[in-house]
Amino acid sequence: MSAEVLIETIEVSRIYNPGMPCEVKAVDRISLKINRSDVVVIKGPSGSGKTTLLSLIGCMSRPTEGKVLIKEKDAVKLPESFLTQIRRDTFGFIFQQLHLIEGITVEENVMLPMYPLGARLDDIKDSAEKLLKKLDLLKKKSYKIKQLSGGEKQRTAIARALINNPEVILADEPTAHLDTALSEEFMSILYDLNQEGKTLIIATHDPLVYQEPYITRIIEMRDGAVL
Amino acid sequence: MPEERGECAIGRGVAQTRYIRLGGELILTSSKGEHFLFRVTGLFTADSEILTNDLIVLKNQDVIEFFGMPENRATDLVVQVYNEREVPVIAYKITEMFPGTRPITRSEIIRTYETVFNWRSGMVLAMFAGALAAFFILAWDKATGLSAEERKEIGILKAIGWNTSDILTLKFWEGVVISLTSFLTGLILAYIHVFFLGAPLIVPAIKGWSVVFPDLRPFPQVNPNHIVVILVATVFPLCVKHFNPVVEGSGNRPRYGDEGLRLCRPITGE
Repeated sequence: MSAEVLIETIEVSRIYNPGMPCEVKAVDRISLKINRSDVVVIKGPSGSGKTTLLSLIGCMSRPTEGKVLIKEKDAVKLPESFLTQIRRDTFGFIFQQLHLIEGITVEENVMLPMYPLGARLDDIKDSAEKLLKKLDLLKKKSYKIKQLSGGEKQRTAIARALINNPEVILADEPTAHLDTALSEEFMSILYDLNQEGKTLIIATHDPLVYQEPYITRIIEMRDGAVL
Repeated sequence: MPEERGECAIGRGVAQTRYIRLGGELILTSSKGEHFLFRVTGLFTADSEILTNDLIVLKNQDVIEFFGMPENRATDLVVQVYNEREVPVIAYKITEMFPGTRPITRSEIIRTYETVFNWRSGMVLAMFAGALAAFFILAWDKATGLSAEERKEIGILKAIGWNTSDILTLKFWEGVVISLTSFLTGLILAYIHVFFLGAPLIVPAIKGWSVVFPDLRPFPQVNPNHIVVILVATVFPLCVKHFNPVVEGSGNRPRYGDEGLRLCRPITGE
């Protein structure tokens, strides 16, 4: 029995500043399929288009050409409100710069993606606390982001990505700001998530990530194209 | 007022300085070193303090005797004029008849007080205008765009699954809470400053170096009209100005990864 295809890109391209002298083809006619529970690494040097491809897969950016199918539905044609729903229900994002909101607490940051679902505040808190406990951050739930170490910030970002129980985790250069020990810790958390059935798509050029044994597929990119 | 010789009426300032009550005795020493004793039969009320605080009223004969003045001499005279329009004419005639005198009319006294207080109120108004200008500059700054931090925040929210209406609702309530909290805090602090602490920050500006009797003591009064006017003038504009740029900013896509940047850039249109 073949694995279920969760995400598919068909000849997808993303061009910035089209028709202008500074036109950049960040992603050039990429077609790929990602199955449920895959651990996919998008590998390549800076400027190769990894982040753009990740943003196209995560419905944060529309392609200039081509199709992005999420569970066989063409996300390109969907209006913004549906894309928001897909982002909310299907994807959990871990950004390179983490993008945690500094002025609020760890727990509040983790709770953020769940507010728009309309759940009761107590339920949102319960979910956040379970995740914080799982990621060994419960004691720091009332801390402000600036009071955390790099690894703790990273784990907060992971908790925030997981709160809506997404099927796919997208991580952009997740180990870029971590030392080796923290990077290994992060990868072990990702491994656990994969064991729970999550699909992982990681954009990175860190060998420590793409040399992990549980990676099922490596997509190598250069100048916007898959090699 | 004193009805017989040996009696006097005094102001509250005199009574407090000499520790005298109504019915007590006031001892005054003349320039020749003679002591005169007067029984206090009248005490001016607090309402008239601005004029009577340091006043002692004696019978004519007592004054003449105390100062050693000739019987037919007076230093101050009160002239009552029934037709107010005649006052300047009569003042002029008095000057003509007695060149060494200086008539002071009631309108001149009122004008002097008004001058003293008006220019000071102008000073306070200038300070207030500065504060108001600062408020509008701040509000304008908010209205004309989002800060980099706010752009980033909206970008993050969009990227983690918030839609435009969620962000607008959040920002609307954020604006309401911030402006209402500021308004109420300002109102309470102003009330405490004026009514409990005696307005130490504005009284020097109003009184200057002069000594004003009675003491300038604002009394507690909450005027609903004033509160509504301040509310309308501050809370509503601030809410709108807080909300307006967010309306423009939150409608765009998160655009993570666009143009090779790894920042959320939700503002500029595609």
